[in-house]
Amino acid sequence: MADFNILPQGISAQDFGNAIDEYAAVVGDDNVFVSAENLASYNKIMIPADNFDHAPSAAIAPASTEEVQAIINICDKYTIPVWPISTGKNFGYGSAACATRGQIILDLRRMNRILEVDADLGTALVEPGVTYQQLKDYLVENNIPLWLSPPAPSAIASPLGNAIDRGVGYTPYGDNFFFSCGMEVVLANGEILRTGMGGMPNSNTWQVFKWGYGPYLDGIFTQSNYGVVTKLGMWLMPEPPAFKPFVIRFPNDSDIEKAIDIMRPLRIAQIIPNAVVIAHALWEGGSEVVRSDYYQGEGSISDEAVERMKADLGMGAWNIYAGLYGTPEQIELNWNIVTGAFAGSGATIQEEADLVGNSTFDYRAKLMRGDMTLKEFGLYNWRGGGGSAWFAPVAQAKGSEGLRQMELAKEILGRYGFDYVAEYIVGWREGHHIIDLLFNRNDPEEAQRANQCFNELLDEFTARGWGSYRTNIAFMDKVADSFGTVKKDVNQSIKRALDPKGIIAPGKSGIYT
Amino acid sequence: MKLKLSRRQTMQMLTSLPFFHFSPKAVAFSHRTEQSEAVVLVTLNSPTSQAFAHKASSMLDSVQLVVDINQIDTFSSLNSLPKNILLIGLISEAEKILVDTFVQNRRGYLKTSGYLHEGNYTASKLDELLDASIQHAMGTSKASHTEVLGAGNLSSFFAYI
Repeated sequence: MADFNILPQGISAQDFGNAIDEYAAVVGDDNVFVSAENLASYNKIMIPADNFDHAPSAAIAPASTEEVQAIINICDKYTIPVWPISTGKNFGYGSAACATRGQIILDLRRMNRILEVDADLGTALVEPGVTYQQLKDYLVENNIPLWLSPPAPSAIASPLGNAIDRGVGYTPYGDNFFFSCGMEVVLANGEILRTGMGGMPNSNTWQVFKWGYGPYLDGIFTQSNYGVVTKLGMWLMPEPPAFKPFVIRFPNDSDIEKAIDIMRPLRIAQIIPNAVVIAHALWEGGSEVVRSDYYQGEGSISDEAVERMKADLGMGAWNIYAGLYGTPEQIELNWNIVTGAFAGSGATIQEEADLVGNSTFDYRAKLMRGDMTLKEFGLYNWRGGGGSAWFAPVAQAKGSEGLRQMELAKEILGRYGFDYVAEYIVGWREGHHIIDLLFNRNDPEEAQRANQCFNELLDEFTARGWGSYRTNIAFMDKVADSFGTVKKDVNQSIKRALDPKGIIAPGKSGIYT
Repeated sequence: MKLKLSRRQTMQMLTSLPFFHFSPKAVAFSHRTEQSEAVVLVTLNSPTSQAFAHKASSMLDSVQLVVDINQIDTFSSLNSLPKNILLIGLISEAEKILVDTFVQNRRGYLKTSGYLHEGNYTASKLDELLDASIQHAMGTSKASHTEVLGAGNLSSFFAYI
């Protein structure tokens, strides 16, 4: 019998050994991992939490839906919890690690087939292990003029994984779950559910009509643990005849109020159709330079240092990245509307021609046209030490709300000695307020301080009615609690109905059996 | 030799090169001897990282791969490296996270061996980091299975693909 480092809770070494043998019979010995060396990569986290609490007992890498079914059946037989990942690149939210210690990682990277792309309808059907780079390469190699809408880690991330965690991209198709259509889900009893139109034999409308008949189910398989999503339909944006990226810079932190209020009607009217980013100076600078070049004192970076950095890099306190899409005539018309809206606001508007060779503008423009870039990883150089935790409250798209959230976040972060590295991603009527709590994970005291800071951010934002749209594996219970007991009870009732033994991802989004 | 290659070019280049060995030749990989003798130095185009690479290349027969988060293909090259490669380098946190990602995709693993501030190094400090990377890679260091505490915006590391 193998010598296991970690056992799933309540499972004997004998039973776990038997289960491991059965998994190996399904996927082959080469795709079952139990040694500490092989499991190390599944336990690399950037969040301020103890690796011990999120260490897996094993990892299994199936290559097909049928193998996933067989694994789930074995998990059901032994009551072994299993944590599915697509490519495991959920940096700052827990990466590939499980919410609770001892789960086995269901690593779906080998399921990396692009099953269908319909160039006329602008749809795709993909497996979990497909990356944005892979899908982009496929479109280019086959000369298919469709765009993707990747999040900032783009090339290495999974479209399926991002959509079912309700992540965002930056094109007009930026809400990735909103632009998904149809799922295949392996349920805890081993059955396969196809949502929407997918349940009907011979249907050819699975990827074009979301709602199907009766209750719309796709949503309950996002940010949840009710099944293992093994296929996802996506809507892809036709390449427009023309695209015009631009940036609008406001000089002062308090200008966030004007920035959001001027932007909101342009977004709601779809004059500006893409997921607009309003990036703070420390996000802009943080991906370009290192903190110690500007500030080596105690506590959060000084205002004076931020002003020097802004001047050096030619950026504002707030920098709005947006794009216009369509025919040249449409763009010209909408450009006049946009420039007119911001006239007299104190903002500076810059177009592509004004920013030739500006690497920050280039990467933002790439994201807005669905291209691959890794530039935003530069944020991890800002402070160094590999610590990152995304705090992601939602705000109404009103300037007064944006200002209040910024002031509260800066005050709390400042008390703990951290910097306000933030951006707003403006949807139609709301803003995802994304704050990267960057810290040195190699310094135990600083990591502990980051944990306390994250806790206080959650407490204070919750007290004001501002909920998080997403959180990391160490804080899922706390965020679930913030949405009230009835929501939590309903989540649990659905879990008990679909997964009575609680084998799929216990703890995901604070949901247990 | 510095490499800045596309994914396709990398495979072509590496398979055409004479293979790389630790030098002095007497240095072996203890229990890893059979696993890997090929060495790729992963660096930034920065003075400190290049100084580290210069020192490393004087000890190890190797090729150099320059990575840069602004050039995505410099990382994609890692997908095309043959199996049984040892990577050693001194790079920033962002690049290290990305190298680790590509290494993980190959079912390899990466471990940090030390830290250093860009522009604030001595020859002895580079020696120390290089020695730590080699010792950890050879599995002869007690710390080889734990991450190293420390400070600095550059990390020395080793990784196996």
